[in-house]
Amino acid sequence: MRRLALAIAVALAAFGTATAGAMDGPMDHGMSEPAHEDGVAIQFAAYAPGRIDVVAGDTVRWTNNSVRVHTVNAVDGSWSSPRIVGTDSFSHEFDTPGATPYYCVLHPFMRGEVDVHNVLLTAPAEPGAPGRPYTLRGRSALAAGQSVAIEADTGAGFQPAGTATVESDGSFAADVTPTATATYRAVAGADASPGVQLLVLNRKLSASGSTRGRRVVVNSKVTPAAMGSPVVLQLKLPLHFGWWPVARAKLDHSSKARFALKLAHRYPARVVLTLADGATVLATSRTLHVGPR
Amino acid sequence: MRRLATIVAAFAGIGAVACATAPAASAQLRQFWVAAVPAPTWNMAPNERDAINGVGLSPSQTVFPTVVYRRYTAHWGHPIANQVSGSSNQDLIPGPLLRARAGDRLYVHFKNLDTLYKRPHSMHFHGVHYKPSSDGAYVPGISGRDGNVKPGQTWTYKLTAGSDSVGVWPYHDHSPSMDDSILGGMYGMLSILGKGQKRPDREFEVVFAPMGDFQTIDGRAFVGNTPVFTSIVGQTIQWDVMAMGSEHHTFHVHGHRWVSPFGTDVDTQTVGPAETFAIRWKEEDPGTWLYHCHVEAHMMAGMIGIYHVRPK
Repeated sequence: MRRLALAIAVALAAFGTATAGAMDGPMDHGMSEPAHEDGVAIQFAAYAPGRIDVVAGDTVRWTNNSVRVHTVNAVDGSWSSPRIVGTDSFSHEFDTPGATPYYCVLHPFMRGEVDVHNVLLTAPAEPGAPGRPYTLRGRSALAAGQSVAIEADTGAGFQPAGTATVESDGSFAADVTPTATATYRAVAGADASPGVQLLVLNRKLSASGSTRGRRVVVNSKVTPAAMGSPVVLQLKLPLHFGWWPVARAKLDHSSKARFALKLAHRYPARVVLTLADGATVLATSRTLHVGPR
Repeated sequence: MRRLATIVAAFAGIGAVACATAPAASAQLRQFWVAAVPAPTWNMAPNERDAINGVGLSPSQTVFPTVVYRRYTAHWGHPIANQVSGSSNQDLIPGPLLRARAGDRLYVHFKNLDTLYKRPHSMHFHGVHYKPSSDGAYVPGISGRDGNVKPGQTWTYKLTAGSDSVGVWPYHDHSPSMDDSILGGMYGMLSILGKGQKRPDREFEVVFAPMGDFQTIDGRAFVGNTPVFTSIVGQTIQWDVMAMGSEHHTFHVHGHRWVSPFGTDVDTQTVGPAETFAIRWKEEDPGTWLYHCHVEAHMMAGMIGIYHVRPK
């Protein structure tokens, strides 16, 4: 039993040293977040991006990335920048929902638009899986505690898909369970965010295990390929009350991953494909039994 | 059964006295390399459940990005696990257990590698002797770089463990980012032995602190997620207990008793913010036991764990 504890401890230590990529948005963990600022690059002859969606109260910063001098002027004349020289930048806060077209007075063919919303959904960075929970995140200008409805359109019009509550920093998160690729939007009263697409892929995860003495090797493969995605080896451990992560890896260029560890006893094991958070499961292998009998 | 148990350190809630003392002739210089590093996907509940109450939890509730203390090999060779051998602790939260002995000098080399929030950080130590330049606390216009180590910068804290430093003590971020950092798990402990005192066979770190919507032990919530501490009958075990945040907690271990600082037998002991205590006993009771904060609301919000004692 002592060897078991050691083996698990070693595995857990290895697990802890690896970290996946950043989430697409932080949860509310009671810590302050910086004020939101959106960026637009001013290129030689264009703004990039040419159109940007922001939340009421956001500040947009234009930064000159070209050798030319430019300006940023509202078409309706309500605000304007001075001449933006070199790598200088200009910022403006947008408090009123609606579209604000702007242009460069020195190069009038350069045009852009800031679309200001009361509620915005963040475009999902990773595909989801059918029947698996997926967290959609967004930002809002609404007061904390207000409700935001999440709607999904798979081709037959928008239907309710979930709800979220606005946090004190304006962020919100909603768990949805997609069945197919769909366009999602957030709705608060008469305000609806632009739609974002959540791609849904039905990936399969195969796994096989071998045991020699205390040495255990588990090989896994994901199809369709998900190169670079995180996979986690889990053991079913009674003292952890369920499936417990003991090692993690990223799928290689062949969409495969290999785990090697030492175990003193035999355990149920499985491999799961997750989002970049290392925890939201997209696909699960069959249950193996690994370790000495 | 009644057992012989010893409190090896009194409460350490009062700040350390900032003065330098000469180390004893036999003193060692112990050097540690500790960095503030991102933990982009810290998960408070990897098993996705409050098992006792049968409540499921989703990663959207339990995973968040944070910055933590991470131990490195000498001269920033490579990162290594925070927990000491035989601890049963998990990695990353709390920060590395910094062990020393009364009379030792400690050089704690700190590097700010916070590429996540790009905030300043620091290390402030309780219970040991140091000059103001190793206080690690930010005071506008008064303190130096020690209390405001910017991203990419380093600072070496020079400490001395005096005869009055025996026991366990907190360290934590005391920079301008202190509030956010402590909520995210930037804290750890010093464990200082008296001269001639033996290390226990097992040393468990228990840090009570709120995190997000949960009450956590070492940054984890609910049984199976909080550290599963293990020992074997006959081993000497030591619990290093600390609280961070703004609330008091009551440390309780099922099936065991120890002697309080007041000389009475107890099985529950209160610890307040930045207070610490260490408890030792020779293990005699095999079984699977609970340890938890006995403030009921805290226990129900996650401050509970498993202690497993195997027969010899």
